[in-house]
Amino acid sequence: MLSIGLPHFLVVGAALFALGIVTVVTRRNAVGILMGVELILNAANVNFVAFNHYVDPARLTGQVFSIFVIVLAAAEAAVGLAIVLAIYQTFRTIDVAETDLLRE
Amino acid sequence: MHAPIASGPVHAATVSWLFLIPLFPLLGAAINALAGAAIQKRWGKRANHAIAIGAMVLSCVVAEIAFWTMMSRPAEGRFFENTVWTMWQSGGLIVNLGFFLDPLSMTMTMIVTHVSMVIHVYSVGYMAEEPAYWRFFFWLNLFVFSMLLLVMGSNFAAMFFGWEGVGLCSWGLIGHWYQDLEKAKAAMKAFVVNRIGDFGFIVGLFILFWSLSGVWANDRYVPERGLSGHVKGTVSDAPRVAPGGVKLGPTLDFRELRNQVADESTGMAERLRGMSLWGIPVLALIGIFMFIGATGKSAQIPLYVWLPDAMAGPTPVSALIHAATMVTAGVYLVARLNFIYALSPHAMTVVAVTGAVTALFSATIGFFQYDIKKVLAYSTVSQLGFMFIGVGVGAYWAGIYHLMTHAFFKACLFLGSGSVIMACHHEQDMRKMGGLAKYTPITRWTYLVACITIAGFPIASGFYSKDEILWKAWTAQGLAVPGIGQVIYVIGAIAALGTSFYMFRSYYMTFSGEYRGNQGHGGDHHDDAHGHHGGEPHESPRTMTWVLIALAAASVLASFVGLPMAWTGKAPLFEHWLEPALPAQARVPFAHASHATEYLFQGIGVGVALLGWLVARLLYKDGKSAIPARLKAFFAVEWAIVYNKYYIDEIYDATVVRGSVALGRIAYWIDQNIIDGLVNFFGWLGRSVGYIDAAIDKYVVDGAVNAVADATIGGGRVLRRVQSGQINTYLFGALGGAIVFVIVQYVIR
Amino acid sequence: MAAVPPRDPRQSLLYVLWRLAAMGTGFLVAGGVALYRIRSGHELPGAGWFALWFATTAFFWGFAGLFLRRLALGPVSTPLFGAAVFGVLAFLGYLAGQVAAPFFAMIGTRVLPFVKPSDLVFYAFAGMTIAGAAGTAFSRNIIYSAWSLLFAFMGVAGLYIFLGADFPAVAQVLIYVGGILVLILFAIMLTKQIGEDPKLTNVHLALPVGAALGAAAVAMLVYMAVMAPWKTVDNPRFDPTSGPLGVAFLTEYLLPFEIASVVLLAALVGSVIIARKEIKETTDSAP
Repeated sequence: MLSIGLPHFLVVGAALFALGIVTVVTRRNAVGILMGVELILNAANVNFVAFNHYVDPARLTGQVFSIFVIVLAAAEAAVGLAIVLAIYQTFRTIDVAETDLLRE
Repeated sequence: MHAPIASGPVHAATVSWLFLIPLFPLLGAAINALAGAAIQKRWGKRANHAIAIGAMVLSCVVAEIAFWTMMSRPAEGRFFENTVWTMWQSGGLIVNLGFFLDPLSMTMTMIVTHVSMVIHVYSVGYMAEEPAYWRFFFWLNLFVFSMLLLVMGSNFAAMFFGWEGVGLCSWGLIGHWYQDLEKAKAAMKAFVVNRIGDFGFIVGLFILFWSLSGVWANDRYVPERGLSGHVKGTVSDAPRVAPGGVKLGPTLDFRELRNQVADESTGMAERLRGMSLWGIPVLALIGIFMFIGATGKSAQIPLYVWLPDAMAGPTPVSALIHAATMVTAGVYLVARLNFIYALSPHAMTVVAVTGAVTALFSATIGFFQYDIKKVLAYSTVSQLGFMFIGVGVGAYWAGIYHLMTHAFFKACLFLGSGSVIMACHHEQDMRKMGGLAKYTPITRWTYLVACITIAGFPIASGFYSKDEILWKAWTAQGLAVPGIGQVIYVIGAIAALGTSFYMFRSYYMTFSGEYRGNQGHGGDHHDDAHGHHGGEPHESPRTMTWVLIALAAASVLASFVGLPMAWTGKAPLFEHWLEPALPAQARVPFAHASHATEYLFQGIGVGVALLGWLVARLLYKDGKSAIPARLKAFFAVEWAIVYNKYYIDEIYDATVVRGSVALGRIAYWIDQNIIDGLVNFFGWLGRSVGYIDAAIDKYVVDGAVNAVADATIGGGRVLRRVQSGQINTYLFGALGGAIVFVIVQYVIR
Repeated sequence: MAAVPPRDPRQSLLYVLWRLAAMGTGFLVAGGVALYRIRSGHELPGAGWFALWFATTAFFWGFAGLFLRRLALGPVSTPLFGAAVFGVLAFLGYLAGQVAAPFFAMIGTRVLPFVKPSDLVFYAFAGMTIAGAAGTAFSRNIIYSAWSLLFAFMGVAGLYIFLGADFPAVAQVLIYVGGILVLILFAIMLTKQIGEDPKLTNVHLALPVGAALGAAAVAMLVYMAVMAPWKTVDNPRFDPTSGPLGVAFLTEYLLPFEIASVVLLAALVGSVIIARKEIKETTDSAP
């Protein structure tokens, strides 16, 4: 077993990313999809911070980015959930399989 | 014999109004053809015959002017030419519409125009009650035009145009009463048999044209030989010129042909003599084939069969065409090509022998015919045989002289018979005639004069022409078989005997004795244009009788131009007149005989004529003798054979006609089944290709198009599922695409 | 053998007392033997084994009498059952003492020098994160997904600490857990139909497809992470980051900072508008 290094964190980030993708693609609940999006953003954040720590700890670029990502994730979650509420008002359900009015 | 004229090249003076001679009849024909019926209805028949006869008169006038102009020139200068228009020129072949008058064609022109004119006048009376009056005069004028083109044509092409034209007009005139099937058939027979002869003419013409170019010699192609004797490289169309300035090479023009061949110095005659085609000398071939054309037109064996049937036409037609003019075209042709024939003894022999045999053969048929016109028809064939004897043995001028005299007396005979027929109310059978002497005196006397002429009594021209021919036949030395001249003489003499006999037979049967025809119909009064009542024969109107008198006079007066040298000490005027046109005349060898021998043969001729007359008189005068009936009963079989024309027509029908029809049927079968089958096959092929095309279009092309459309629809149907409206799908697509892209990037890098 | 003992209140009390006494006796005897073994350090004599068997049997008789009433224990079956139980226990004890213990001792002497406690903590946090993410991805119940998300966020915050990013860690907890997760839970609650089966609200759609995609993603990323020769610093420093971050925000990254605040404003206004209008319309259309 190696000592904990950059690859470990990157692997964790990769796993989070993959699971986030799975969530986004497979979920039928709209909120579930947003949860997956949050996971993906978190994975990105982990990558940022890990790189920042192991490659150039003197500068804080990665951490700054991760703060911004958090901010934007919050904004996006807010708007997204507002949209989910709007969808709910229209369709009385947030099952995305039901919201297929755009289907051909 | 006298010294030949200078055999240098002939130069012709241009006379620019020669074309008027055939033009007037052509115009008359055109007017009568296009407007004749209307004119006849509006102004009556007078207008039609006025136009026709007016045209003929004008033509005669111009011909007279030409004749007297020619007479005023010296012998060498009696060549006129008038090239109206060059119809066609390709390489060495030049076809002009041109007219050429030398003494020979001048003679022919005068005969044609004058005899035609008087026959036109005669027709006024004869065809008076004919409804299609205008059509008759149209064909008559057109015939005169064609005949003039024939005799005046300066080259073979113009002559042949006229040659064909007279055949056509003969058809039109024989078939004038075409509503009668027999008459229509007779017209067709005349035309078809003529055409067979024309084929021979064409072949002869081709060989002549060919042989002048030096392409054939002994079945091998030889390059042209220059006049200096060395062989030139290849055949060229460039005309060569002999030292005398004569143009050498293939030509259709008579004058050029004569200049090349008749003049020994050009070397062309020598060369032609040496050429042979498939083992036969070329000159003989040319002569024989041309003569075949002549047999068709001039009714010699074997193509004479149309002439007796041609009597179905109106009598003026028989007189004009089948006595005076058209049938003489063959003789004219041989005379025109005298220099060719003179070079080939074989051709001359063929011509003379055929003429002789025909003369005798048709004379025998004429013995027993009852139809007066048939008698005259066979007489024509026989006399044409005499003419061919004349030109065959080398006495070209004699043949032409006999042509001229025959034109006069035969026309007179025919028109006289027409008058008789008219008098007997369209009765042609001599057994129903008789005793017409007192009803139709003018006709009777003119007919008698003509009979005397044809029999050969010295008081009329027939003796001089026929005797000259027979004398020349006896003394002929230029023939291929030695001694055949004498045989021809004997045959000719027997034919002359026959001629005299049957002519006087017809005379006595018609005019002597009692009238045997239908006398008075009792209550059957029908007034026709002649205004005669009852059945009594009567004389013809003046338009007809004057013509008869004129022709009878001509046939007597024509003797003066043909008086033999033995009598006058000089060459006959006619021979001298024709000399410039007949360069070969001098070169044909004849045996010299004393005048005494000549007198002897003349006496034989007269004796033969007398004998024939006496026998006829004995048997047929007044119709009282029973000998004809007894002889007929005794020689019944022979009589039947001769009466039925030796069944020649039937033989022809069984062989040639049936054969041609069968050939036609075979050709029709081939055309229908093989050729049309081939064409249909290709049509079927085309149609099948069309069907295949349609199928391809329907299934392949349209199928492809539809497949594209279906593919698009199918593709759309499949791809539509992308637009599922499901957010998950979209996200899957986006993310999956991004990941795939990264992986691919990674792998590629 | 005998029928099920009656549940007569007077008889049962006695019954229970007897059983409890037996269990206590067995317990005491076993304890005594064990004390003796440990104090003296000798191997157990035969009497000791017998005593243990007796203890086991007594305990078992009492236990069975109380809790396993169906089991009919007579004078013959009781010692037999006791012997069976004792045998099983003795075997298990042998395994633990003679087999497992030396093994683990061996591993421990080999591995322990290398294992740092911090690594273990890292693995624990990483495991929590991934487990939480997995729970979010695969859970059938939406509330369970939300709870797993909580664990994922917390794990990530722990990982940040490991990476010396103290401010991001705290920001993560505050914003993600405190803000976004709560918002998610609000949304879940607000969009639930009454009477809806919670289990059916989070059904999966084409799970294998998604799993394949995820597998592809993770494979690619892990491969890259492991194989790429990162230029890393050997001993990374763990400086506090709050101060330097604040400075950076206001100097080097001022523009993104301001824009981020505008974005937040827009998101705020926008979400209010989006969510609000719909509610107004439905209330208008209500009869």
